[in-house]
Amino acid sequence: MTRGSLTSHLVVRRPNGFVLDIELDIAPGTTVALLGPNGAGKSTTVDVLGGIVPLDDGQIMLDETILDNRSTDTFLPPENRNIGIVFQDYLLFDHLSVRDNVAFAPRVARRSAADIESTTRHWLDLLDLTTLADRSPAELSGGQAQRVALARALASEPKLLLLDEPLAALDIETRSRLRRGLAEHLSHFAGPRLFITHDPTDAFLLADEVAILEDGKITQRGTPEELRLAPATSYAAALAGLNLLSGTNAAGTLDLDDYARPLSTANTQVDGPVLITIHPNAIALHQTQPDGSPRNTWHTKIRSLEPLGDITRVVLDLPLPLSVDVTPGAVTALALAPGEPIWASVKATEIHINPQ
Amino acid sequence: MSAERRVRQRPPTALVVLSAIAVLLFVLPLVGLLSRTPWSRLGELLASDVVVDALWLSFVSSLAAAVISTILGVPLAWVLSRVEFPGRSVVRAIVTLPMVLPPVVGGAALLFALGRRGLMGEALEAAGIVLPFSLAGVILANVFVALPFLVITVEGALRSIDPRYEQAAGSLGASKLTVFRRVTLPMIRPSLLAGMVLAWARALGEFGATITFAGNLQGRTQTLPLAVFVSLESDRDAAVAISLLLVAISLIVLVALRDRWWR
Repeated sequence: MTRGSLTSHLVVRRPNGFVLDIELDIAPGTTVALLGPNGAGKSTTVDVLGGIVPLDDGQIMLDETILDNRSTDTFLPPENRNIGIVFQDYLLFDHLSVRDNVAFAPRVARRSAADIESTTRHWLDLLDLTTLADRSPAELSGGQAQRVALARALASEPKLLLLDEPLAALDIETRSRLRRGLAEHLSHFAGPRLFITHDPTDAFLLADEVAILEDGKITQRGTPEELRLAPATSYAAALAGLNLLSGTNAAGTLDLDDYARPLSTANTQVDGPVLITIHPNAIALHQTQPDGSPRNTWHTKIRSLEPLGDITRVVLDLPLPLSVDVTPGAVTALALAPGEPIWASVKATEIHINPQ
Repeated sequence: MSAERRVRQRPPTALVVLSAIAVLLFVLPLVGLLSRTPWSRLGELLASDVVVDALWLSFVSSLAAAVISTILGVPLAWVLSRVEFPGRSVVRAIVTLPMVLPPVVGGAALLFALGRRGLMGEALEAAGIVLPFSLAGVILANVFVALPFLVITVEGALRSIDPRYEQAAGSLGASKLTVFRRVTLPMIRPSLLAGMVLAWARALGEFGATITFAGNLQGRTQTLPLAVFVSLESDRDAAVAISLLLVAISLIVLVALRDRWWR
């Protein structure tokens, strides 16, 4: 247990039979993504860490202070926990200006006027909010509101930064634009960072480590790379199957760093070095050459087949070793087998890119 | 044919007719009042001692009742909306009882509890507090009937705000009381102001509980509604003049506050 780290064993038993039982340790300066589907226990995790729901068992320790432990009857209320939370829909105070939202925590901590002023200015400045300081939250765009929420949380000088689906309220375009900014802003916080999300792209791109939460348990934890190489469950495999490539975009033509075959994307807004994501559902397989854009249609062989419950993961051979998810029915209909030739295609609109 | 084609959507006739009848129900008595107003003597009537005394008493007692209702009612509304305790629905029913109870009954109940020969009468008298036939009695009777309006309005507003804003404030280090002051109250501001105006208006018009509990002494407990009642027997013109004054005050306040506060 290092100074400043989060060490926790969270056990919550809900009346409906749901049990959350996870160990969550995060070192300072590390971003851990807690990635899981709806109902896996993500909100329960946020609630117990935030002090909205007490633990039924286990313990939460943050920077050597015990926040919650039922056996010793320790329970710190939310206001004494030093956890900065960025909520999914930000929950900015509409009756206060941007500046007063950021100044909220230093004010309620009864710091000196000069201290409140300088802390507020510091965070407004760091998150590019100085020109928006006098606005009302109602006048902000989604991305601006997110920065205010982050500044407000950081101005409380927390020991843990908890981000609860901070990108979920945004549309897809804004989302990929903000993801990069968020990664940069997170680096302003030196303590442990917990990023709650259901989106594998967010988790893989923003986190140092990903913990996969399924039905109240962490089924696997590791770096994005480790998860992709050896997914432990079919859910992890489905997530890890997300095809992540790097390359350079020039007006919709993607030159890949690792493979010779270029792809074309519908996104012409972002030029230069990009990260490319292609969902395994987005790739179609055909026995004969399909019609449509020849750019994103190619002939290859099947490298491997892996049944994952109700889907089958097909991995293609060069020129592009991508993962493709198909139904078991399609395996039979297309006579898919390792080594067999196959045509693959993907729509330009399904190739998503993020600036690198 | 005009270049610009105007399409008017006709509202359903039945709704319009019934609305018109409802408006008529309010307008007719006003017209009756105006038709009987002794316009030439109006200034003289309104300047009489009785009216000036009653106007001052109404002003003081209704404002005091609104302020006291706010000080007591906002915390009560918070407790009713945020704290779960056994008998909460009973407490809520008791609090709203004065809204349905005839005010005379309320006044009588106050008398039995706090009057000189009432339950607490001796204790109060020993402490030097005499409520019946005093301004304090008028204010108490007003609070009794006005408080429920404030509690109901504010409790409704407290229930409708998203509790996660309060959680967010808590995570920023604010204690429960600070959250209440800095987040909850500002969020319910429009409803709070509406509740205060409702409580004030109810206190201004209060008659039954006041006359029963505080009596009808000119210059001490005789508010405008009581003065109207007395004048109806003695000087009908004066009654009309005071009524007109009440209508004017109420209309001015409602019109002035409406657009600003509740949209």
